[in-house]
Amino acid sequence: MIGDLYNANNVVVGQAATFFAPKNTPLPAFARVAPSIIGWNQADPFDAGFLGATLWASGAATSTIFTYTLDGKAYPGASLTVAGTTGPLIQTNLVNALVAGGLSPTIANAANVSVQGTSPNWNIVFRGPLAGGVLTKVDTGGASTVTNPLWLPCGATDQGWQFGAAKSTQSINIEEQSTPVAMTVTSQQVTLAASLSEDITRTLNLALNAQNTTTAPATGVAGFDTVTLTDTVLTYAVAMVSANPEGFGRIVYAPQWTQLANASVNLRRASDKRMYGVQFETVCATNLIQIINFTVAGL
Amino acid sequence: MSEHDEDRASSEGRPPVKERESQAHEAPADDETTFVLPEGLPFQCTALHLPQEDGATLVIDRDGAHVPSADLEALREQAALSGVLLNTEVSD
Repeated sequence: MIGDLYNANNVVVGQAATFFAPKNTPLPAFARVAPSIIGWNQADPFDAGFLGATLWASGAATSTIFTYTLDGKAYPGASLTVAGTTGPLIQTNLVNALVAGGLSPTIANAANVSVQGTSPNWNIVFRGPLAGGVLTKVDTGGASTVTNPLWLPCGATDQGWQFGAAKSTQSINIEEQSTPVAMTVTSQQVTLAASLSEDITRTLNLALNAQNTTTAPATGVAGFDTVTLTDTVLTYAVAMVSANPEGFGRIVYAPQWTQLANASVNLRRASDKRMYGVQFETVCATNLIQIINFTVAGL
Repeated sequence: MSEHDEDRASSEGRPPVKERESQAHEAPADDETTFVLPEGLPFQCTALHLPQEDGATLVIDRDGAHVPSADLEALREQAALSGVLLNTEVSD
């Protein structure tokens, strides 16, 4: 998804990917990391699997028809019998739907559609060019539940992400001593900043503190999104994923951030891309800002 | 609401507030609508608009909406094009 990482002597060169979700959304359970590494690709922490997995609880359904919708096109699958189903069977069902809908097998294949888990709970991850769609289902004989991921990727950037923790301090001095006798933190600003370079509705919402309505296509009417700006400050949960010297993932997470940076976008014919500057800033208690640093593989 | 207010509401041809509230929470009088909730709306998206051939637009927000039962399957397919499943919560 994003470039390779290089490390030597604990010096790590590597990028980060940032995801956002409704405020106070927790990270997925780390139990999914080990021992079977469901949904978490430790070889590539940027992989969407951990934060971007779709959960399917097959429940009491006897059969289900999945439909994956990507870029406004629906890819309905064949009926899937729930009893005795396996990860490979679900995977084949979804891949076949995508191929039948006209996608090339070089894209719609088992590498880009992974299914893990055991009945009745399954994790489905659409990777690479298949990411960003929505999985829906129609059940017969009982209800199953599809939970699409709450976490959405912020997408590509101009020059990666910048993590900052700027403190403002106050020295406490006494007359009898030249050096401070104490230091207090008067304020602290924890930020994640980037120039988003995917000019899509999701980026516009983030960059402009906006929300959208979606209008479905109809006969003679194109489908479209209407982005509406608001003075109400929108608050997000944000997680930035990167790698550490051990080669495992690292997640910078806080449950409440705002994004109120000024946007100034150049629209050029050929010389450069459009870029939307964003700066997430925490608006939660300091001890809710956490960095999870995976150090050892699961047993 | 006082008894005086109740009397005045009745005299104006409107049902008293209690009666009106109970109507609001019941299913519509005609049983030809189905209550649906949208699934798959990104959290930044506040509502799904479904344009109809007669020029009207059905708006389904996160709280759901009543839609004509006869049109449900067509509306499902239309919504699916935008990646949204219309989930039938209450069917009359």
